[in-house]
Amino acid sequence: MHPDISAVDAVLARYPAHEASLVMILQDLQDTLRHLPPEALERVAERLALPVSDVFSVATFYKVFTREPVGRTVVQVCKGTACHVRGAQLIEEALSRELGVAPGETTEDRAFTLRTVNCVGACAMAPVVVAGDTYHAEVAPAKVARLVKQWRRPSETAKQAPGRRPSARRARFPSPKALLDRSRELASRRADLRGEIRVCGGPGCLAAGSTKVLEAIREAGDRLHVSLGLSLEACADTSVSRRVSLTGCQGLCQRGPLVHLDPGDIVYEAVKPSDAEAIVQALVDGRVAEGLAGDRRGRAGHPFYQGQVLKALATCGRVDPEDLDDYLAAGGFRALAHALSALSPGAVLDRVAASGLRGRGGAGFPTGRKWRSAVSAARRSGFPPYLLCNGDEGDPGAFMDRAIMEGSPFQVLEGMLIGAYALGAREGWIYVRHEYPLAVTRLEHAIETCRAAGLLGDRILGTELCFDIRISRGGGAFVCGESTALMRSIEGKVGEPRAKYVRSVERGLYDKPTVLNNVETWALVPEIVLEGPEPFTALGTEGSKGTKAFSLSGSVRRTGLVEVPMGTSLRQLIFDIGGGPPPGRRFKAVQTGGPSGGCLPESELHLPIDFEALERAGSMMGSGGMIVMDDRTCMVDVARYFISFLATESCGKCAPCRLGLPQLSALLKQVQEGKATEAHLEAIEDVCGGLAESSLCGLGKSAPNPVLSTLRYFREEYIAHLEGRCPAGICKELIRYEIDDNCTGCLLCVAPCPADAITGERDQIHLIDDNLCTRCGICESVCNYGAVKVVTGGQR
Amino acid sequence: MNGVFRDTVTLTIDGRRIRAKAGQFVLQAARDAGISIPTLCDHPALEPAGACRVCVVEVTHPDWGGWHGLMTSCLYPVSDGIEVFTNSHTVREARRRVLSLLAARSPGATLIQEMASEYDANTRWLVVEAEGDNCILCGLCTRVCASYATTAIGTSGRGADKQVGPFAGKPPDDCVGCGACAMVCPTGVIEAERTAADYRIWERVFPTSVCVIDTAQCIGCGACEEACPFHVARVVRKADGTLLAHIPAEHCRGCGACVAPCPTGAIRQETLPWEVVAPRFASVEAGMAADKGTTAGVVACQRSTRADPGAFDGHRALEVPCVGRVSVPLLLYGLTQGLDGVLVLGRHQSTCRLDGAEDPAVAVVTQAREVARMVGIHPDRIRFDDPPPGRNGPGETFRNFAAMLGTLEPDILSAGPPSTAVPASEGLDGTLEILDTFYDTPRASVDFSVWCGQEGIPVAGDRKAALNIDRLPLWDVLTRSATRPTRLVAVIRAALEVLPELGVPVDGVTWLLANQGARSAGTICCTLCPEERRRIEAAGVKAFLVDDLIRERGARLPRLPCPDRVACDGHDQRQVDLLDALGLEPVDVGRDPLPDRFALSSGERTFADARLVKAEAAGAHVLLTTTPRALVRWGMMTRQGTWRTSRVVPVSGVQLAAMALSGTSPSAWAVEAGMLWETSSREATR
Repeated sequence: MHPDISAVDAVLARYPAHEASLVMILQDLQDTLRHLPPEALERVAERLALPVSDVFSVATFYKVFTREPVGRTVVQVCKGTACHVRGAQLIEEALSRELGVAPGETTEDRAFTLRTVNCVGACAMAPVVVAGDTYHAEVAPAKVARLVKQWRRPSETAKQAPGRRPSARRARFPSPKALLDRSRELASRRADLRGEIRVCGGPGCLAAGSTKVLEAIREAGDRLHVSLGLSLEACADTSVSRRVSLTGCQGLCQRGPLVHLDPGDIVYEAVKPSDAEAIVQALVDGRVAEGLAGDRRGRAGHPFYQGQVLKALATCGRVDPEDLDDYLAAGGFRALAHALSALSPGAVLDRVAASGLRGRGGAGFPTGRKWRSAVSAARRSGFPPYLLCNGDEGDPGAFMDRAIMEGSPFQVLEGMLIGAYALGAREGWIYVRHEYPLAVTRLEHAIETCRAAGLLGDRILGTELCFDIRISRGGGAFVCGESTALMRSIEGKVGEPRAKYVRSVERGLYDKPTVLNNVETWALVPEIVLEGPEPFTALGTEGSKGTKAFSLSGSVRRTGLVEVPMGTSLRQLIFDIGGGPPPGRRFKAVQTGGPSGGCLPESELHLPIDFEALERAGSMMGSGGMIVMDDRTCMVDVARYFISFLATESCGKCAPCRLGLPQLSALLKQVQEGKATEAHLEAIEDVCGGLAESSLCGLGKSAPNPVLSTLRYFREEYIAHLEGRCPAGICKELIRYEIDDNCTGCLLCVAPCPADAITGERDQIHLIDDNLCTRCGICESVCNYGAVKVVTGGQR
Repeated sequence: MNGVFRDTVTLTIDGRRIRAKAGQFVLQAARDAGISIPTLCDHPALEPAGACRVCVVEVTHPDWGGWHGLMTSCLYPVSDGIEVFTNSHTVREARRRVLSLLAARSPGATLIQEMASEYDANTRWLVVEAEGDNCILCGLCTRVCASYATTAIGTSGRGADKQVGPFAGKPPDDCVGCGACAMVCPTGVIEAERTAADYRIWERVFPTSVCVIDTAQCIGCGACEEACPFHVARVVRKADGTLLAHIPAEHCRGCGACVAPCPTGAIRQETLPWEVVAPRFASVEAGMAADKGTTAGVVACQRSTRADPGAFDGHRALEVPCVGRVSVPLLLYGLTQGLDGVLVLGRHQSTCRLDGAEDPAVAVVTQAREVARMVGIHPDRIRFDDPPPGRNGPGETFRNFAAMLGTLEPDILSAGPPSTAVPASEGLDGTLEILDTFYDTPRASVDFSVWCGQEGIPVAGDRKAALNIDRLPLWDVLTRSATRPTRLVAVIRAALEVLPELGVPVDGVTWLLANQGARSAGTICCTLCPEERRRIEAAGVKAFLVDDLIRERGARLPRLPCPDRVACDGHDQRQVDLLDALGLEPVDVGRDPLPDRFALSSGERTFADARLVKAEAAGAHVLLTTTPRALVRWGMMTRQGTWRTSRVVPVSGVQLAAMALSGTSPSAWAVEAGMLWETSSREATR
């Protein structure tokens, strides 16, 4: 097929003709042409003056690019950890059956492409399927057929993501004082409001349909003749004394859509559009609407919010992420103004160092030390450092950074600006993974707004500070969360890490001094600089100060986004804040640190959340993903899940990772299928040893952690598999589905069985033919009487 | 990736204290100390990648509290005080594990299997590919193509699906057929086939111009063997005892690096012979505009012209498969055809440079620059440059060169070049033909003072006697390596020593040109060459032939206790008289059959060989020659090399006189100068 070259040229015209634009140009081409034909790649190579084989390397490295056209609707099954433990595998199989294609393939009529995606960051609503732009939360295998029918109908896709508002026209702040004056003015205006309704627009609530709730509230306001301003600007008119807005994540994702109200600090849970009128009326009347509030005492009394201290999430869920005024009213940019007017760069560095802030991306490197090394490196080399924000958040099961980028982008920018001042930087990038398009939109909007307000660009707030930020989008590669791979990706190359014998602060992006910090780390900087280090050091343990945000998901009653002081015990987080496992399930393990971390059993729940404590126990803090697993999770399956995940994400440069991960996966498969012996376990440990000692980067080096931690704490489960049993009832080769005498003979499970394995008469106990059963799980999910049981042991 | 070499550091490797340069990597420091560490993805010509993980070593330091790390030695910088272990148990285990994985993936790769068994690697519990892919993704091929060629191949995909290949799996347009990828591949995965007419790789076919020797012209001097970067050209002994060079067509890479060094012009590169190349360079096609400010010529290979098309528009470009093909007469000829300068662009068919060797063209350009300077051409008119990396490199280098030409001070070419016809030969004869054009013109401005300074030859002052050296310095530069160890400069030194003893008080050398006219009367001018003497006297200056002076007055010089044998033409009384005058014993080996030119016919060579055999049989270790040109020709034929069996060294009369002065017998001189060489054990291959 011959693509329209003018379409290619149109995309090329949007970006500087430089290698650094390559990944983003290819992404736009993939969106426009639905694939990347060779002719398009040749044109791009020609215009960017790059060898065509380099363009080809990039075009085949990132998962988002395809060589064949994708279908009109791309159906993505999330294979994040939370989704996996809630049954994503069965959903993938169900979709594959319904659509008639294997993952990665496109249907013949080109209507659908089925794909897996390694975490879309909506973990609290697992399992998630994304069709086109629409998120479907808590999908069950039985629902799949209905979903596919729905997609086949001409589009009635609910517009989930809110449309982008144009940036308000504004004047530049000529000085820090001018900003502080405006900030005080807006804060007082806000305090004067008679009511504020904040609809949660975080990842989970969006997936649950919160934009519809916002619309309904606005309509209800119209009907009830209550003026609800959308922005603080609109509320400058004194006749508008109440406000409704869409904020970022408010934390309690399991119970979304959430609506938060002031006065009263009330949280309404599971709000439907039909509740809108009741909410508005209750606000006007000064009371709490019946049946909607999670706790009548408001957030202060709510068990989910007790024990949390929000610093990185300070403004997330409280401000409209697209409204600079809102952020200013909440105290935003005061830290920057203070730094520019009252602190020297060295003093800022001192505060950050004194706070004990350690990187929140997973490694926990002391931020102050990193910044000081960068200052020295910059002085030695004569180049100012680049500042990078790692928004790749590839850990499946983590969405804190997504929430922060979408919910309080200005806070991230403020952190980077303060960093730029302290480090003498002039340019920065925020690297956002491809799976977070809304985060890109929000950050771009925030950057434009800041530029217009004199908060980015030249002579920021009228001072000597010159700093600007650009966004670089990832292409679908977990390895690009690794700092050196991330830098290559920004440069437009394949995301292959390099050996870190020379640190990135010396030679990083374009071989210049570079400071890379995680989104959450940057978000913590403003408060430390404004208030000094004491409020931060007052919390936490000896070695781990301050707070940490977590995405709590999996088998807990209250999944969501939390931020707790370091030192909080795992038990407190999972059982007090999270509410423990849902009824009928028993706690088994908690997984932190993503694919680099480990699984800790109940005996370790007393451990404090602390970098060293978790590492000693065989896991790690990680970026903040925390998945709770119950008795229906098979730890061998979890180990293999992580290894398979890493095998698809390995960059392939070094032999131990490229070759070792598939071998580990094969060995674990043997265990899962009951074909393994003790010798296999030894072989697993040997391959793990090779990975840990010889891999080039952290992906390979830490890959053995999930395997080794499950072997350490759950060895008896592995042994059970050697003996032919899967106690959790997950590993297909070792389980059977049986119908017991709870069966009422209702025939409900017979038709949906894709293998026609169930025979049943009305009022007779149904029977599953074990030879035909494919263990798809549908019968279990439709049965209303709990009559379908998974058993293990004995001959298949 | 090397740091600044400010310091040396001291580290310990396997218990030995080693000093290394700061900025080096441990692998290199170990190699320098004679400790070898196994590698798969390392190559001396490439930046290290750290991909194979085989070169891991255990590193610790007293300040590390007992912590040991496993680092890839190819990328780990040396630093003071580190203790490195290259073969500890931990290291061996790490290698065992990596090699097990590689062996499972590539069971057919011999190198891997060998290394695997050395480290007790085993694949018992691993999935072994039934038909393994022998590519171990070491990245050597893609790295060499990116660093030295055109980035025609790269990797696609990632993880276990990663593979090496060209764009979209199609035969790569950018490939120039240099074969570097096939050369560096450790497991032989890349298929490359060399047939008589072409080279096939990546499903592309590259017609190759092999180099062919005209055996009639070949004098077996071995210059081609030394020049060939791939060790293909060889001198072999024929059944009848003669030595001839041979280039097996099936191995010849067609780089043309042997053409220029051949003094007789006996080597011809098919499709690029001299009679095609020279006029192509002189042609007015390819966008040459008349009356341009500066017109430059460029000799470049496909990599440069492909990378930067249009870079040389408006100037004269000669595209060759490999710029090793360039020769001194070609460069000088270009200047006589209206070019203001010639640039040779390197870094291309660089398989010849993978072992760290220099581009063969560099030696040619260096020579051309030297002789150019001597005849009054600004040497910067001829340059060799490696373009910087990147597509625009060739164009950028060329533009800088053209701009530089505009800034040069006026020289002999500024008023327009002397026009010449294409010389008949590309060998030494061709070069000398062109140089003579500059030497003999009315505008000639020859200057040998730099050469004299380098060689320590004094230039004559205002005294009344001088040694005229004519074109000898030019010949010396051009034949420096072709005639080892007998160099013309040695003859000049000998003359300067001897002449005062013969009563001619020369204090240095001079060089007379056609345009200098008669010198003042009373100056005594000596010369080594009869031809030159006639020319000088025709210009009205009195000249003496040095050999004549030896004949007349040689008896003044000391005599050896025992007369030594010297081969000569016994029927030439002048030669016999000279030897008598010095008290040496003439041995008649017949007439000198070699002509005045350097190229010769096979009949001429046969006679020459016979002369040498006769001399050796008669116990004469030196052969008298009567002119400098004859000395050079015999020097080429008896050139020292491992294939040499002849034990006869050509010598000039004045050198014999100098030996008499110093009391050295000619045979002893031959031995002292290291001219005894071993019999070649190689048999003839034809």
